[in-house]
Order: sequence, then C-alpha cells, then structure tokens
Amino acid sequence: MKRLIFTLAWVLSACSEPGSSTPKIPEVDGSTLEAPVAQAIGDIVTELRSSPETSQYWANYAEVLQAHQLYELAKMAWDVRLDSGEATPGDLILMLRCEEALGQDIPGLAKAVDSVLLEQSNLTSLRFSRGSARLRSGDLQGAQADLEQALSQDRHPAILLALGRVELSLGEVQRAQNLLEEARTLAPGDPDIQKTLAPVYLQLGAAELAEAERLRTLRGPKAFRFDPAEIRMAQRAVSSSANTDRAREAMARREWGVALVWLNKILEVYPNRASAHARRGMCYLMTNQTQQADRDFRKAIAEDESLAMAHRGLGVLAGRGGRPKEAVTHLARAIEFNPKDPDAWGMYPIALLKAGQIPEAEIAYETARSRFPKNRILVQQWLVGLRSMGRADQGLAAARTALEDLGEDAAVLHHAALCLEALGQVQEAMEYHRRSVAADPKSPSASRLQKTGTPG
Amino acid sequence: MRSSTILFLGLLTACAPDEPRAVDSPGWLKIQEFGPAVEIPRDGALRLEYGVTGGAAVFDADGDGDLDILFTGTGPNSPTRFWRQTNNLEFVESSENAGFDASFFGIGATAGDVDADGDVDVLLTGRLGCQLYLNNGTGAFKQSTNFSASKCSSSATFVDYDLDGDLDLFVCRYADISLNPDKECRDPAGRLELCGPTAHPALHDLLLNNDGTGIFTDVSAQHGLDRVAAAGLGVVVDDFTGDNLLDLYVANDGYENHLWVMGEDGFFTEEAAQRGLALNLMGETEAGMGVVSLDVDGDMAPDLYCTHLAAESNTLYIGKNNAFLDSTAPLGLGVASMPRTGFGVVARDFNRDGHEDLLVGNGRVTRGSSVVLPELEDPWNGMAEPNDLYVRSEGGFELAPTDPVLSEVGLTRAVVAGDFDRQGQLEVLIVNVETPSILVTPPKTTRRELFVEAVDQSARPVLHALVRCQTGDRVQRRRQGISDGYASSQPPEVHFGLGTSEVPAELTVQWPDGSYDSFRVEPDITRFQAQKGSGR
Repeated sequence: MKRLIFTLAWVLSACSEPGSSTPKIPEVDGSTLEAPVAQAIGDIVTELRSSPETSQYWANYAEVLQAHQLYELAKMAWDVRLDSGEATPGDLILMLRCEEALGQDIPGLAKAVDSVLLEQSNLTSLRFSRGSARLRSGDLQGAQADLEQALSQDRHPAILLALGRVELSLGEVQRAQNLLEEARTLAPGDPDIQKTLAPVYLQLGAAELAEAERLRTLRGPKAFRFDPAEIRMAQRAVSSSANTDRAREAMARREWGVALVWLNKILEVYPNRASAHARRGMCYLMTNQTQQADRDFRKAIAEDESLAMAHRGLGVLAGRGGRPKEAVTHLARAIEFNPKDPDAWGMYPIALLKAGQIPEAEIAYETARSRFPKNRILVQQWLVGLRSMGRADQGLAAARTALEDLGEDAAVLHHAALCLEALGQVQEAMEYHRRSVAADPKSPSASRLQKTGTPG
Repeated sequence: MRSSTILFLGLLTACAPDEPRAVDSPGWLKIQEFGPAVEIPRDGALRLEYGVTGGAAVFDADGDGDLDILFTGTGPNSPTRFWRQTNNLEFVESSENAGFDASFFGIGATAGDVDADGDVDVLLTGRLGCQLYLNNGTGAFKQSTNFSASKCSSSATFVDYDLDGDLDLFVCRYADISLNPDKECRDPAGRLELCGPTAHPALHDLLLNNDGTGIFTDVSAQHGLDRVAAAGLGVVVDDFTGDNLLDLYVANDGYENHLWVMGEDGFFTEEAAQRGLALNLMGETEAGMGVVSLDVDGDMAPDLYCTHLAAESNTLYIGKNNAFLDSTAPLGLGVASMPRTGFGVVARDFNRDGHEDLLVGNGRVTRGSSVVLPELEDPWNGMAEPNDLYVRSEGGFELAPTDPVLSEVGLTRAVVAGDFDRQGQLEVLIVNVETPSILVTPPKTTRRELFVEAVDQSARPVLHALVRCQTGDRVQRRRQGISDGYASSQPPEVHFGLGTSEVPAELTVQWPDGSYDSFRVEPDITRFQAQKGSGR
C-alpha cells in the first residue's frame, strides 16, 4: 500500500501580510520528517519566504513536495504557480501527475494545457501526458486524439504503448496489436509491453502467440518517456538520493557497514529500489554475508533485469559456490548490460575456465585485454585462474605477453615465476622472482627468495 | 466512438430492462449495530496487520436455518465475537461459550463443512497464521489440533479444487511479519505510518488438500504456488478460462495479481499476466484488497472487480475470449473511486433491476487530510470514509447519491450480503473497525428478487455451483461462492433481481462436477433451494 500521512501543521507564513494578496505558504511540520527531507523543504520555504511573489519558487516548492508524495500540499503550490500565468509545459506535466495522484482536478489546469498546446502543437511530452491522463480518466476519444498527435511527432515506444491501450479499450484490437508490436520492436525489454500484448493475442484468438509472448525472455529497461521536468522532480526526492550519495561514498571508502546503514534507510522508504538492493548486496558480499547478498542481488534483478552490478554479484557468488556455469551466465549478463565494467570482464574468463569452456575463456581474456590493455588486475586474475587449473605453461605464455604490454610488473613477474616453478624450471623461476622484487621490494617473491637462501 | 465500443455499450443496453434505473428511495435502513467495536490494540505501534484486520463470516452456525455472524477480533481486549440470530434479524452475542481463542489476532474468516458432519466449521486467518474451528452442530466450536497454516494470512476460501467431494482450502498470505514484528515504517517524506506489505518479506499463498475428514495437507508446492510470493488480500473462485474448471483469482496488495488456472491435469498454473489480469490498464500494480466476480457485459462469463487504495481507482476487468481488459474508466468506475480506499465489496442487484450493482466498503490505511471521527485516536480518527454504491446505468455504472445510512463514515473492511433471516430479502453486514459494525438493508422496492441455494442430496450447500436464471429473454449468471469481497465468508446462496418480470424463472444449475439440473421457480417464490439431482 502506498502510504501518505497528511497530519501536517498548516501555519501561515510570516511573510503574509494582512490584507495583502500574497499567497500563503503551506508548511510541513519538519519535526516528523527525515533530516534531508526537512532540510530540502526548509531550504525552498526559506527561498519562497524571501520572495513569495516569485512564481518560479512556487514551482520549486510544488516539485519538492510532489517528489515526496505530499500531493495535497503540492496542489496548493501548483495553484499559485498556475494563477501566475507563468507555468511552463514541464510544470503542466507535473500538475497532471498531481491531479492523477489526488484523483481531483486542479482548477484551471485543463484550460491552461489546452491553451499551451494550441500555441505550441509540438510539445510532445505534454500532449503524451495529457493523453495518458485522459486514458486513465476514461476519456478514450480525447486520449486517442492526443496520443495520435504525439505519435505523429515521435514514435516513442511509451507513446505506442499508451495508444495501444487506448485502441484496446476502444475495441480496436487489431490496431492495438500493430501498435504494441511496433513498441516491442523499439523496446524489446519492456515488460509492460509484453503484459499488454499477451492478452491482446488471446483476444484475437492467437493463444500460441500469447504463450510465446509470455515466455519471451526480457532484456532491458522499461521504455519510459520522461520530460526534463519529471527527471528534475525525481532528483528532488532527497530522502533517497541524499542517502544514495552517502552510501556510494562509504562504499568507495570500503566502509561497508556504514554504506549498509544508508542503503537500509533507502530501502525502508523505497523497498523495491533495484539499485539500492544491488548496492546492499555488494556490501553484504564484501562482508561475506553471502545469503543476504544473494537475496538482494536477486531482488534487484527481479526489479530491474538490466542491473549489471547485481548480475556481477551473483556471478561472484556462483563462482564461490562452485557453480561455474551459473557464474558464466551472470557475468555474461553483467558485461552485456555494462560493457565498461573491468571487474566483470576480469572474472568472466576465469568463470569460463572453471566451467571447462577453455577456448571461450581464452577468447574472453583476449577480448578483455584488448579493451583494458593496461589493467594489471585482469592479467593477475587470469594467471591465478590458469595456475589453479594446472595450466602453468599457458600461464607462463600469458604472463610473458602481458609483460610486453605492462613492463616490469611485480605481480605478473611473481606469477610467471610460480608457473615456472610448476613446470620444474627452478632456475628461471628464481630469475623472475628477482625481477619481481626489483620491481617492487614488497612483492611476495621476496619471501620466495628468502626461503631458498638467495639474496634478493 | 468506434463501432466496437458502441457494440459493447449496446450490449449493456440490450441487457437492460425497460423500466428507468433510478435508485429507489427512501433509502437504506439500519437494522442493528454490533458493539463494542473491533478495537485496534493501543500499543503505540502502527503494525502492518492493524491496517487490514476486520473480517467476518456469515453462516448458519447452530443449524436453525438462519444466518449467524462471526467477527474477527484483535486479541484479549477485543476478541473474536460470535453473534447468534435468535429471531428474525435479532442477534444476541454468544461469544462466551463459542470456543474461540480470545488471544488470537484475526484478520479474516471463511466457513464450510470441512469434516462432512453436516455443520459449518470456521477458519480464521490471522497475523501469525490460521486457526481451524470445528463445529459441534450447535454453534459451539473447538479448535482443530491437526491443522497448520502459518504466517500472516488475510482472505481464504474453501473450494473443492480436485472434485473429490470435500472442501479444500486456499489461503491468501499477506507478508511475513514474524521476522520483524515491531518494524517502524515511514512514508516517502519520512513520517511514521502504518506499514505496508512491502515492508516485510512477501509470502506465497497456500493450497491445502482435505482428506475428507478435515485433515489438511499443504499441496502448495505441487501446484507451483511456492514459486510466486506476493501479498494476497482477496480471493475469488470462478471459471475464468471457459473450460468449466474452477480457477482462483487473487488480488495482491502492491504486487501483480495472480490467476491460478486449473488445468485438465488437475494442477494450477499462474496465468494472470498473459490474460490481462496482473496489472491495470496503465501497466501498474495496484493495492488489491477485495475482489468479486460478476457478469457485467451479460456474456455469461465472469468479469472481475477489485478494490484498491486511494489515488488508485478500483478496477473492473471485462473478460473476452478468456483474456481480460481493464475497462474501469470507460464504464464509469474510474474517477469516482479514486479518493477512497476500498476494502470489502459485494456485487448484488440491490435495486433488483436485473443487473448486479457494486457496494464498496471504504476506509483508509493512511491518515486523511483531516480528522473525521474525533472520538477515535490518531491515526484512526482520520481514516474513516463513506461507503460507495455503484449502480448500473446505461453507460456502465454510476455512483449512487449519498445515503445517510450507507454513506455514514466508518473504517470499513469486510462487507457481507445475504438473506440473513431467510425471508427472501437482501441485508448487508458492514464490518467496521474502531466503530461498531452495522447490519443494513437496501431501499424497499416492489421489483422481484429471488435467492437460490444450490445444495447436494443432503441439503448441504455446493460451493461454486454456477446458477443461470432466465426470465423471458433475460439470462443472468451467478457463481455460488463464499469468498467474494474481503476477508469474509459470504453465505452460500445467489441472488437475482428480476425487475418487473412476472414469468416463472427458469434455473439451470451447473455443478462443479459438470452435471446440470434445471428448475422452474414460480413468480411468487423469493427463496428457492435447488437440490442436485432433483431438477428436470
């Protein structure tokens, strides 16, 4: 259940003067709010008090209130913005959203939207928003007109989907099918399209197509269409975003426990936020709480299939758990969704190696090397993997090739020496140990040399 | 308007009787208040289960022919209460010797003869699991020691899914509060509020197989129920796929709804998404609470109506070719329900015009913008709302005018409708929390109505029998279910409004095993028992 609590203290703003026409500022009782939220709202109230006649400040206030789902208060601020005659198309989109959430009209909004669209017929986002609002309220003809025009300006999958739903409601199932199939082509990973299309096929008597649609594997995010105003409003949701920043900073400092505190706060408020689940899973993984990590990664993927971090996490867990094929699958997905992730690239060849897919592992390693030629960790992981699989000769060759690119890298030299030891070439191994220590006196090769009594 | 829409609306019109469809006056009548009210514990916490408790079962507990009432309780200060009907529509509280566990925090209830001994037994759902009570035939109950259904549960229904003649059990489970029962929850702005279902781990629903003696075995995993966890609040049984097998539809709170389709192999599979029943038209999950099946478009197949949270409309799904389409807004049900939070719902023909209307019990789960009932404590004082009646109109449905009795604000959860005194008239039980529940009756009308009980050879109700009633050209369809609505047990009977028709009603009863019986009911009869094997 969504939860909104409207026990808010309504007080008159100090800036309101008796007899003046300055609008009263609706205020929230900040003592009941989380600190970042209270601060964000307080900052904007201060700004508004300083200049209540500035219409833009009312829009800012409405946005931050709406971002925290304080719709009734947001509506009051939108009323002022609308009365000012300065509402932008983005404001009007957010006002339409506010109307929807409250289930009640904002007086004058319909007229204002009409007027703006008459003057600027190319405002696709506003027209799409009004079309969607009309669809929800049952004005199918109005929705159809808006969405047809929006579609003539931009064949965006979200518009195709909305118009498909309108046509479906109007009984035009064949047209709905055409629109939805086009939407699916443009956004093959969108589950909303899939879930709308499957019953359309059933209505058309095509049960096999419906079943195929249901079973289709989805990849990719939902095909939302966002206006900059909506993005800005979402960014105002400081309760979550401030805590996300804190969590990210803590993770960068490898303070996993601290990060967990902030991530838990986010998930309390937004329990289905995929990115927070993925980050929390990573914190659990780094602190060896593997069951919790697994649960979070899976939840993250259930919410957002394209979340590379969660796939990488599951890949690591599967690798540790001795399930190399599962590791391969997840790491491949991680790379697919984030091809710039060197960690996933580093682990993927090892997983393939452990899954017995040797040629594929070699190709994956070479691909990773070509993408990240200066990444030493990638080489080291590969060498460790080869040695652990008893492939010392292959490891030695790989180390020598890497040294050509990386120069005298202590770790690579150390691994090359270990490979030589495994191959019984002790003398040459000692030479590589010496080179490793020369490159970095803290190299583990130092203890190797001490054990053999050879001075480093 | 496109031709197909005109055709669809035309179908609705074609099914309408000739007379005008105005709601009759002078209005609804209150018959009885049931006090004291179900009380939410005063422990300062805002626990998940506090928002969803408030169920009832209406059934003949003592075998005297009329209907008695069981209200779920919330523990020692407000225990389960049992009201026995002693005279026509006169109820006396008989909780003391009824045998229910006073400490039990209940949420919902359902009733049926699980041990085939001829009396009606009761299942209570609750915050930490269910309790099964066996009736000794006089309205005294004893808790079954051989029954287990753990974790927070809401609605439940008995259903003979395997057609072996006994009542099996489906239980909607809500959320696993046991891991963190004292959890504090906050809204997006960071303020304390009642916890919602996603604050706790989701649970899968339960399917329990009865061996015929009231001993149940959990067969959830065999049917794949354990593979989909959600937050179930409402369940309704009907044939949603047109194959004459009984399916189960579950309204989930904040998760995709589930449709458990019975296959010819005897196993359920989940098919809500592919049949258009998982989400609303906008592709959103909604806060599913109560759910009813009804036939809106007169195609002799079930449609579905679900109640939801404020800011979401209640949703009407119309079935066509075994797929469903959210047709809420075009049929006039969208905007009207947006401001309120619907829980209990019943589809009955309250004005007897030949079409089922919808009565929705409302009550918020969040604080309202103002205090509505100052005598209650915060936050409950801002949660009461009026109930809504949607009556059939030319274009679909319209919200009936405010009625002093029906629209009295309360914190309503379950709603149960039936012929309580078996006198052939409809009464409605509105179950409130924090304020007394009430029994009301719809406005009087001279139009004809008919109650039908589909029973077996031993005169025991046959749950989920399908009853079709034809008067002249008009055919209506009803399923004799018990779980329609929210957290409640409806009496096993069906109700038809027959308008001004003066011809005999031709009944066809399709029994769950696929067999049929036909009956003719003369116009002066308002209550009829259709016994299996005794028809034409």
